[in-house]
Order: sequence, then structure tokens, then C-alpha cells
Amino acid sequence: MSKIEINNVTLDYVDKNQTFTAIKDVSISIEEGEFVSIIGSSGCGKSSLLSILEGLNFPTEGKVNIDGSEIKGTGLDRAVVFQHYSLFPWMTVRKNVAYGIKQANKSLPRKNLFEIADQFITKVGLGNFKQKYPSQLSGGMQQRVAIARALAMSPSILLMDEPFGAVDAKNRVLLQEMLLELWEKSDEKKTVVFVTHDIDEAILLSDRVIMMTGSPGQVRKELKIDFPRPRNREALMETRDYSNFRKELMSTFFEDIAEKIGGDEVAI
Amino acid sequence: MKKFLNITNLLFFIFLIIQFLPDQYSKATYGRDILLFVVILEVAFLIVTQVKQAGEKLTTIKDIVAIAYVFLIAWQVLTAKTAFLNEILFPPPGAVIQQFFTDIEKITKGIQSSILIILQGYLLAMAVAIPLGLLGGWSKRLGNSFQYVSKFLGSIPPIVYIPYAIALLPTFRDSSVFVIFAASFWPIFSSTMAGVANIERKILDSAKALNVGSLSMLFQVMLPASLPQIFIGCNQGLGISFILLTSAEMIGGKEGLGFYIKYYSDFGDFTRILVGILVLGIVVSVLTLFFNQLQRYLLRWRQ
Repeated sequence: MSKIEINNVTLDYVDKNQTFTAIKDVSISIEEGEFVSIIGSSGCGKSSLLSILEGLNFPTEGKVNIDGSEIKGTGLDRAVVFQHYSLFPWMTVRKNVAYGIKQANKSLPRKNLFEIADQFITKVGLGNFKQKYPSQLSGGMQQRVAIARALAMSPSILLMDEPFGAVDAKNRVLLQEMLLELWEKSDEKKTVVFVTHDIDEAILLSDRVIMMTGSPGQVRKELKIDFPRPRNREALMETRDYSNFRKELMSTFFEDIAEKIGGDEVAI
Repeated sequence: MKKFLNITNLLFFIFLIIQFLPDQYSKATYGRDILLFVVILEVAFLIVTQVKQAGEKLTTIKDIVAIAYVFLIAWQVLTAKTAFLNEILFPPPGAVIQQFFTDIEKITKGIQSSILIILQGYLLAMAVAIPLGLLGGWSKRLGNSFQYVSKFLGSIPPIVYIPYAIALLPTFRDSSVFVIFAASFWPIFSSTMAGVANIERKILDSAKALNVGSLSMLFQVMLPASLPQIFIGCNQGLGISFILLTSAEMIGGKEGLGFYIKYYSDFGDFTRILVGILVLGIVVSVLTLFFNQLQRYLLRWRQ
């Protein structure tokens, strides 16, 4: 049994008697401790698929099982990092993280709550920003806090919806490396589902990359990324495998666009 | 020395010079009282300019004091010094200040009574309207109907409830509290509902993803998230409350600032009417300022 089993999932949105199929007949299995990226251009249904895993949306057809039982809604076995607004703007960094921990573990005394929060805030390098409000932090720092909160809740699954999509290029690299390090070093490897449209990011982080195309969203390609861990960005980028993975994903990406526009002149 | 050369201090000296002009009113003008008041104001102003660092805030303080001097000079010139205005309708500033200190006990009691009634009605309205508004914003079904109900009931000027308030509630005090409750309830209620409706959807998703319980969702997520908009309704409610209470006190009260003004207007005592009007202005400003500061503190997380 896999950790996450997505079986023939279809998701329709109904709006004013019009049905829009966001995902059609998608099946994916994700193993325990696996880092899986779902990539694709906007509108390919990748975020819709993640929202089903989050428990915020329910499949019109098909089923999603986690540890063998069907998803009934949001759950503490999963923590989520969104692109924006993961944090509550009226809580300080410390309170945001502590609030997450409290939701995950209601019986924990207040003192321990803040101890654990401080620990994780330090881990993401924001020890000096505990008392700041999100609006006083840069976008990259806010995402660090969101990651700290997600990890501090100690879920078995981490769901990330384009978490670095709105961060500038330099900070994105730093955040990717931080996430890689935190994940590789943790004693119990979390299962991660990571949605992105950045091919390099997907290759660097993942054990497996799933490419979706739309619409309706369907799985177009699956690629196993078998680089050893711990990984190093510079070393990886020099290998032939890396450029092969990249080429393969790129070509699928552009094939899809060419098909949609109806000509091959757009392919580079 | 250059530091003291500014328009505010110049106006202060103009006021001093004016004091040497002979009085034209037949009654006492209490020139000494207003002189004392202006000197105290100037001393306080000089201390502030010494203590506070130069900047925009200090400039504003200087300007406000200057405007106060212009106002006092005009008042003093048009009344006591030239008798341009009617002596009975427009007492000089000194008389108003003298009267204020003579009546201080009555006035303090009046302020106390007015503020207590306002706070009771207003806080009660907040305590009921905010939770109901949160519920209405949360549940789509409740919200759909609440919206129309609040539009209808909120459009009724609350003063028309007075006959019922008087018939059902034995004392003036209780009926005033009720009318203020009714008046501030609707703006607070509808702004709370609108506030919840305008919460960024991602914030609610984020809360749901944290598996937040219902009570926590209402009071730890929706309430703070819609607080900026709730406060808009609260400020509206406070404004209406003062208008209503003063009117009520003038019509049927036996205490309070509105009553003080109404009572002495029956005797044509315009000095006391002016005292009442000025004190009312100060009380409303101070209370509004207090609530504004409180709101700024509670919204300190916004940039």
C-alpha cells in the first residue's frame, strides 16, 4: 500500500450551469518518504489536484486514499504551505508557528508550544524575527515561517503549492536549499507533494517528477530523478543526467504548447 | 532666541496686547480668567516645544495652538473688546471659563452620566452584533437573509423606538441605553458581515488546512481578519450614539450634558449653553481619540 493513492480522480467545477473539468482521470501513487513534484503550465490542474489532497476540494469521480483510508477533509496528517497567505497577518511569527502547533497538539502546555515554535523558527534562520508581524517580513521570509510552521506541526505529509513562486530568484535558490537540507536531514522523512512550474526546482528537490498538461488536467509524463542524496545544486547541474532530465521535461512542455496552439513553429 | 520666533508666540503677544483695550460689554468680562487660561496654555506650549523634537508632529502642535489663539482673539475682540456681537447671546471667553469652574461639579456628573449610558449601550451592541455578524458572514444561508433584514431594520432611524423604549423600560437611563444599543447595533452588525465576506479566501483555506475548530475559526481567525472593517461600523455607531443621546437628554433627560444645555437654554443662560457645547465637543473628541488609539493598537499588524 502506498502512502497516497490517487485513483482515477476527476474534478469538475460547476459555475452557472457550466461544467469545467479541471482534472480528468488522474491516477498517481506516492510512497512513504517520497518527494514528488507535480509540474505543468498554469491551468493544468496541478493546484486543483493538490487542493484535493489538502481536503479543501473533493473529487467528482474517483478516490484519494491516505494510508489506505479515504480523505474526508483537512487533516493533521497533512500540513500545507501556500504561495500566499499561509500565515495569519495579525499574529507575530512566533504566534503563527505556535498556533499551528497548538492545532496539531491541543494538550501541549503553552510553554512547550513556544519552545517548539522557537526551535523551528531558528531552524529556518529567523531567530531574530520572532516578534515581527508577517507584513514586516519579505515574501521569502514569510515562506520560511510557513515552512517552519508546517514542519513544527510534525505531519507525515507536506503539501506545498508553488511555495516559492512569488519569491525573487536569489531568495528562491536559498529557500530551495533550505528545504532540501531540512528534508534530507530529518530523521523521519516526510512525504512531500510539491507543486511548481519551475523545472529546475523540480529536478533539484524531487525523487520523482510528474508532469501534467491541461485542460482538462491529465498526467502526461513521469520521470524518476535518481540522483543520490544529499544533493548539491552545483554538482548536479554539471551532470549529463541533469541536462537529459531537463531536456525531456522541456520538450514535453513545449509539445503540449505546440499542440494547443496547433502548429510546431513555437517549439524552439 | 530664534526658536521662540514663530507665529504661535506672536499670536500669544497679540492676545496680551488686546487685553489692554478697554471692555465694551456692560457685564463683567472676566478678563483675568481668560488671561490666566491663555498664559497656562502658552506655558504648556513652551514646555512641549522644549521637550519635543522638531518634526512634523511639533509643527502640527504649533499650528493647532496658533489656530486656538486666532479663535480666542477673534472671540475676545468681537465680544468684550468691541461689543460687535450681542452681549446676551455671545458671552466673552472669560465668562465661559469662569462659569465652567463654577459648575464643575454639575458638569462632571453630567459627563459621567452621559458616558456611562453611551458605553453601556455601545458595548452591549458590540457584544451582540459582532458574534451575530460573524455567524452571518460564516454561514451563507444565514448571511443571505440577514443581509436583507439588516438593510430593512438598519434603515429605520433609531429615534423612533423611543415610544417603545419609554413604555417598556421604566427609567430614562434604561431607555437611553436601549436606543443607543439599537442605533449602534446595525452599523456594527453589517460591517462585521461585510468584513467576513471580504476575508481573503486563502486565509480561510489556510485556517481550514490547520484543522481549526469552529469556535477558533470564528474568534481567532474570522474576527481578527475582519477587524479593520468591523471598526468602521463601530466608529459609525459611536457617532450616532452621541447624536442620539444628546437629543434624548435634551428632550426627556434629567441629567447628562444634553440636559445641562437644554435646562439653561430655558433661562436664556447662553454662557452655560456655550460651556455645555464646548465640554460636549471635548468629551466626544477625547472618547473618539481613545477609541482610535485602541483601534490602532489592535490593528498594529497592518502596515
